[in-house]
Amino acid sequence: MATPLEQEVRTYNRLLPELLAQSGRFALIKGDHLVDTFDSYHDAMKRGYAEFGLEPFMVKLIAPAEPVAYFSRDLAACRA
Amino acid sequence: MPGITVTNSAAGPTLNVLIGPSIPLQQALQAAGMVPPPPVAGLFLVDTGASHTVVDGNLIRPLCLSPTGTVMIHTPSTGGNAVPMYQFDLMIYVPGASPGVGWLIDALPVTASSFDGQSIDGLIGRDILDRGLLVYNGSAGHFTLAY
Repeated sequence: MATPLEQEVRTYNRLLPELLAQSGRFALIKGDHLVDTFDSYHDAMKRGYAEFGLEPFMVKLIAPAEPVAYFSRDLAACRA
Repeated sequence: MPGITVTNSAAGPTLNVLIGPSIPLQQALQAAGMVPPPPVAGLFLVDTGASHTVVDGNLIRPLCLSPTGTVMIHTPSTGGNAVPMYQFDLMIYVPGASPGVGWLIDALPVTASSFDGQSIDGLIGRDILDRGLLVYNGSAGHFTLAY
């Protein structure tokens, strides 16, 4: 059984070479489809909810290398 | 620039904040004829060692949110490797010194974790602090957050 957003993550990775020209923007992805890219996270989420309502979709910052979040304390897993 | 000055708690520089579905999600819920869940309150540690804001899973579970993103994270226990974690689309409200002058972050991708036994419900990370001004007065035992 697929985990949440598994397909969207695969789609992002597949499209990344083409998306790199838009680094710094936010990609809205539903399933295996790139919907559009946006200047801000807020705009991407707004469009996602407008288009897909409460169905799953993913918004991701376009970056040549996967951005990493750093924490000086341990975090228990709620892993993707 | 409005702000609040808060006395440090036993857990350090902590703030009582409200979290809930992001404003765009609340609008989507209303458009679908649903009532957005009310915000929930939690005690958050202002943590300059956290690049991103984190919320205890117990706080967001009642909101019934689906993940809307993933992020790779590094912690002291990930052994030098980044691991993926889900992100949830949240609204965060830091109440101000008087009613109606608080700090509203209407949509923010936030990671969930567990803070069981740590006397806090989450971390205010630099993704929020980068939008404001933090002054930590250790000798006076308080801090100021302006936004």
